[in-house]
Amino acid sequence: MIKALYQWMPGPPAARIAMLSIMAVVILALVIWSYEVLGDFLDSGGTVGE
Amino acid sequence: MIRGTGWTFIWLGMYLMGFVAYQLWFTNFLTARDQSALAAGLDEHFQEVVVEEVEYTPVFVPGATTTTVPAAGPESVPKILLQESASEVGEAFGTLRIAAIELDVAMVEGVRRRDLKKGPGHLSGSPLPGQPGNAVVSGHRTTYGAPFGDIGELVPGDRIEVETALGVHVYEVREPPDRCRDEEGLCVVKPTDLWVTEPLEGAWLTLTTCHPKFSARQRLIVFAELVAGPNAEVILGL
Repeated sequence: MIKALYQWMPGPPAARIAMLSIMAVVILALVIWSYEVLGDFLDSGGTVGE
Repeated sequence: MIRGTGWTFIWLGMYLMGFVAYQLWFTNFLTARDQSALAAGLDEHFQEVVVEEVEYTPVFVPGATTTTVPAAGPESVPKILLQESASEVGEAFGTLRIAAIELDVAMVEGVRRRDLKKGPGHLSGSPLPGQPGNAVVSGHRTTYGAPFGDIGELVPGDRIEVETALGVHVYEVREPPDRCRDEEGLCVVKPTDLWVTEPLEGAWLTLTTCHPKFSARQRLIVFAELVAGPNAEVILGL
């Protein structure tokens, strides 16, 4: 899938790798953010009225 | 089509496995790292804290019943209470020790999400532990080190020690009030039940955490009353 994405992207190889790296960081940040949000349903810290 | 569906389930499975690993392992690692830093800075914090002597004013709650001895009458000599300056939100201010569940953690000021990731947090606005009234401390039960993972096992009489710049304040767990006691003898309330944070006569420590485990649907509350410490004689009228 990553290879297909790489081949689909325009520009020289260095630019494609840079774009893929940025995408990976953004996706990782989104995944961790979603883990934090979902985690609040498991254990929100136990505060009362906050 | 089938291949696409297969890949979707594979990615979903990886996402969920990542979620479990993140919550049950990685958050513990983050908290352990923060706890090391907090514990290292506590001695320095204790030396920097300003301790004042203030006149003791008992907390009076109309209609409340208390197991503490009433404070001395107005004709007696004013009693002096030791009071420490409040810490910045997010900074450590003391240590919480509960031998019955082998807990020994640094506590932070504040109950924001980022404060509670470091350890149990003191509800700003409630008195500090060792002071008259109701000191409220919240903590995670299943993630971020799960400092309050086992507080459901505490029984009346168990001792809770809180060390602050003033010294060690010793509390004893008390029976939960009837209004929140469930069939297991635990105090379980809704997250919006603010009465558990309201002032109490004497000096109390109220621990709050999520209930049941792996759910934030309700709150488990443990009430403990001050029995010894730097301010105990003044507050208890001994």
